[in-house]
Amino acid sequence: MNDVLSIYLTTSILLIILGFYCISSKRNMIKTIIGIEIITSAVNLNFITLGISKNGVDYFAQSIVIISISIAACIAAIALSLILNAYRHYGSIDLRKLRRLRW
Amino acid sequence: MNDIILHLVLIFFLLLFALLSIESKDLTKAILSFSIFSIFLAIIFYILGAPYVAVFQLAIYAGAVTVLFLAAMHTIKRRRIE
Repeated sequence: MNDVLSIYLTTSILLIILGFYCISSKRNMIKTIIGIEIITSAVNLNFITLGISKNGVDYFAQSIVIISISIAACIAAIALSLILNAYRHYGSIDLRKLRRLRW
Repeated sequence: MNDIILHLVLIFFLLLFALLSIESKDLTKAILSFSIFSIFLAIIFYILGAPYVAVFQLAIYAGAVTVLFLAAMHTIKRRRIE
């Protein structure tokens, strides 16, 4: 069981690195939200992996992960509505064009 | 030992579809790869012994969030923005 735990912890670290790479390097806004969702999935996998005991996964960890999945869906919905609002206002979903607003 | 090989194959497909959903140029392929990624994550949750989390992952990530992404992508006219 110890091997499985170390394998899944390494997997969640790799997924978090992939998500940060996606957020920091992609210019499309929808790709950025996909990166956020990948990071949330990696954190859920980390929770479930650390909750493994001899008879199944701990119920407290399961309930916390279920709440986290629901909140991630709400985050995706709100972020997509913000993207649609920005697209209607500026006519583009490229992040570099919105970055000019600071100056 | 046989069990660990199954876990490694599942993790390989998980990382492969995560990479595909990040790196593919077409947005439709990226979103569908994200859906398949969440389906594999649900299978992993079920194997690790958390069936309710697997059901929620399938219903919310592979269903609702994917439909949300596709609806937002079709609202925005230009498909290929990179």
